[in-house]
Formats: sequence, C-alpha cells, structure tokens
Amino acid sequence: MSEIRTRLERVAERVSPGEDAFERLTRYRDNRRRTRRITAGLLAFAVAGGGIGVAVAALGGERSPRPPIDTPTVAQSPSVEGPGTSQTYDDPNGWTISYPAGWSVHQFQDDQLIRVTYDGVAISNFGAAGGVQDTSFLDSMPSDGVVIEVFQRQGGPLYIPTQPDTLLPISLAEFTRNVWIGSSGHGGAERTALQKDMVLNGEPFTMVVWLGSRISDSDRRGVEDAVSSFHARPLTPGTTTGRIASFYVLGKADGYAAGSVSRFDDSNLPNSELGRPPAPFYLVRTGPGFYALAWPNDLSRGYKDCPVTFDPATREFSCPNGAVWALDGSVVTNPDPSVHPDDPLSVLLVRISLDGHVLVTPNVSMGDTSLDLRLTGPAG
Amino acid sequence: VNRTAGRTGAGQLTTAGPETFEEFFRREHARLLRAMYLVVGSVDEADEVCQDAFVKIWERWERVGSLDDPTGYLYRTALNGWRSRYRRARRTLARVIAPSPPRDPFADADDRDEVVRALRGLAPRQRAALVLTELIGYGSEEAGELMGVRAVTVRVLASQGRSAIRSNVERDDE
Repeated sequence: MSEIRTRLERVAERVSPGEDAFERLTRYRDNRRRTRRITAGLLAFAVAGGGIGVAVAALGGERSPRPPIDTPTVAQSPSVEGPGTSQTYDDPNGWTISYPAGWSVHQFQDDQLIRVTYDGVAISNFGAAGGVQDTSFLDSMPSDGVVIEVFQRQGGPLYIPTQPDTLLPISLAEFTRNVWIGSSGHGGAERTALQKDMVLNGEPFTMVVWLGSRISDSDRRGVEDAVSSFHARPLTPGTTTGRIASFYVLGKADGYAAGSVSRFDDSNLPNSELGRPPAPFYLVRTGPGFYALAWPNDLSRGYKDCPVTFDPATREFSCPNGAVWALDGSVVTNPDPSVHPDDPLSVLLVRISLDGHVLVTPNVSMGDTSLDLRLTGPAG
Repeated sequence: VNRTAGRTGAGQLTTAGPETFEEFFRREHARLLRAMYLVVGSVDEADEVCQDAFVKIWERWERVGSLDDPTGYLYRTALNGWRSRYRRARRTLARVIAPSPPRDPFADADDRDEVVRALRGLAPRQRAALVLTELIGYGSEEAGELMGVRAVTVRVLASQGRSAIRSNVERDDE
C-alpha cells in the first residue's frame, strides 16, 4: 500500500457513517419524493391570453389520445418546402416539431440537480444525446454540428411564469444568446448557444439551439425551419394537458356566455396527471374573463367540506350548513364564527389554451380571482 | 484493485443471488462517504452528495444492480452530483453583488495534519483524481471515465496532488 494512500485513509477514517445510515437514507428518499410531488403541484402559475387568435388559426383537428410518456411518436411527413423530406417529432407533452430528414432525435431525462429534473428531447445532425446540466454531448459536437433541445424543468424552486402563452410560430431571431452555457467548459468545437423560454398552454418550456461555428447553409435553414415548425397540438375537451400544472381541458372559451356559472362534477373529470382524484368545481365567466371556484376541505378553517351549490336567483354559493359565498368565492355568511374563521372558496388557476379551450388546474389555487381574470381576460 | 471485491471479499456479502439495494448500500456507503469527504472537504456536504447518489441509484436499482460494475456507477453518480453542486455554487457566487467567501474545505478537520493542509491547497479536480486513483484504486482510464475527463488529465491531476502531499510531509519532517 502506498504511503499516500495510507495517509489519505488516515484522514478519511475520521469520518464514519452512523448506525442508522440506511434508515436516514430511506427518510431522505421519502422526503425527496414528497417534495417533488408538492413542488410539481404548486408549480406553473400563470398567464394566458396573447396570441390566441394567431395560434387558433394555426391549430386545427383533433388531438390523438395521449401516448405513454416514454413512447414518443416520430412520423414521416412531406417537407413543407424543397424537394427533400422532413420528419415530425410528436411529443407526448402536447407539442410537435419538424426537422430535416437524416437528423436524429434523443429523449433525455437530466436529473443531476437535487430535486430538479429536466425532461426533454435533443434533435441534432450528429446524434447528440442532449442534456441540460449534463452537457457532455458537446464533447463530440463537430464544428458543423447543430442541436435543438426542447425541455421542461420539473421540481426545484417554484417557477411561476408571468408572461402569456408564447406567440407561435417562433423564429430564431427571438432567441437570446446564452453566455453561460455557451462558454461552459466542455471540449468539442466552438459553438453558440441560443435560448428561448416559452409558455405553451400554461406550461413552461425552454428551447436551446446549439450552433457549431461552421454549419452549412442547409443546416442553418434546417434549424430555422425546425424552430418555426414548433407548435402545440390541438387539445381535446375531457382530457388533461401538461405534466407540471396538469390542466383539465374544458370547452372552447367562446362557448361560455358572459355571466354563466358552469358546474363540473368529478364524475365528468379525468384524473389529474399528478394523481389527485377529480373534485368538482364551478367555472365562472364574467365580462372580463374566467375564474374557477372549488371547495376542498380546509383543515385549518374547515366548514366548506359540504355539498356546495350555486343559486342562480341570488347568484351566490351555499351549503346546507348555512354557509354562503358570493360569486367571487368570498364569504357572505359564516355558519358559526365562534368555531370557524371565515372560509372562502378556493380559486383555481384558469388559462385559455392556444387553441381557445378553457384550462383549469386543481393543483394550483390562489387567494383571489384577480390573476385568473387577468390571464383569461382580453388583456391576457 | 478489484472494484467489485465487496461482493466476494472477506467480511463482505456472501449471499447467493442478486444483491439487494440495501446490501449494496451497506457495503459501499462508508467507503463512498470517506472518499467524497476527501474530495469535498466537508462531512456534511459529503453526506449530502452520498445520499443523493444512493437515492438516484435506488430509484434505478433494477437496472443498476444488474450492471457489471454498479460501484463505478455509484462513484460516477456521486461525482456528477458534486460537480453540479460545485457549478451551481460558483454560479451563485458570481451572481450576487457582494459574495461571501467560499467555504473553506476541511475547515472542520485537524489543521495540524499535513495531509489535510495539502488537500486544502488542492483544486477540487485534483482531489478527485487523487482519491479515485490512490484511495479507491481506479486506473487513470477508469477514473477519467468517472470524472468525465481524459486519462492523461487524471494522471496529471493526481500527480499534482501527490506532489503537494509529499512536499507538505517533507516540510513537516524538516
């Protein structure tokens, strides 16, 4: 045994795992799972609105049933331009992108960071595996290489997009140069990293484009065409969309009259992607926009664990226990203030999808209706 | 050094059939913790890096357990996790207006130990190369795979580490 090794061992042996190391690991794993679930449930607040008209025009047809997350479909389709062919990648998360024939697609799940996972796809002309924290694929990137990555972050700190859904189609000119990742310490050829953060049907996405220093004109056009082909699939009412907030897809927004109050019962709702069982809610359309009200049992207050109904005559919500709520969910009558503090109805996050459907998530609730109205109203 | 010696070595696992994750954990935990302590320079941080690595492997045990060298996978996972933490810490420091000084590695170790003093003076990559090749016994090719660098880089880094320790020891002896 070398002298160096002996000396290192002497220092290292001062550290000993406790007797309960495996039990600690089990607790840590359980906490980590719980944190992921909670964070994912809180995640994705935000925005809607702008560009719906453009997107609606760009979208059409029916959405096919959601395939399993690990079985993306790659469909051949004629190229829009030119004599060659292009391929279309159809992602289970509701988006598609077309790219030049001969390029490859790799799915990646980059979970090097604690509690944070980047799930995405890398499309390249040299077979890049892709990754966000793990960018080792850059080591083998040739000077004429290009990579397009589309990914979503899950877990980690709460991410609340405040911008409306991204206007589609996008173009490379909208991307910003990412100095940090562009200069990361990997080998391989000199390259430029361009990035665009987007919101697509209420869910945050990021697209990163890596360009080698000597890419061909045809590959540059291929990148530009691929970027501009990126779009959301049309949604189908009665399904869910998105893995982060996991929205229920309801009917088209223009199908709900101003002033209408529509009840959605759990029997008509699919299971949330996050595993939460369906629970009933009311969708209210005011003049300016939409909001949704639900009544999960609030243990800290706790008098709305009851069959809430809407009275069209008074335009109020009530329960047999005497509780009454106004149209915005605020408390009108507390059945027993000596026992319970006021217990308003919960306001769920509502957005309008790019193809004009109302989206409601049972996984994000807010203090009042102002954000919903802003996101779903004319200015949203 | 036989990296899978734990499967058959004295005092180690002797049961037939596939190894369970718990058995793997109990076999490898102390060694990984000590190695990462030498790389990271902090008991707490080494413990966190180890826990993260083991949890990741636990979640994939069905696949990792059937690999020829799950121990190598464990070390690679731990080193990747530590590199990510290190990069994030550097990025955070770069973004704050008035950065606090980075934590002193081995701050809680015995300052009189010449090896501790030598390790403190090494760059993290030098420590990793030294630990993987000297303490764990990997060859430079294998260590390079684990660290995501070329074998020649490992040899250079480890050599610098060894020189630093030797010179510290000699200085103490004088």
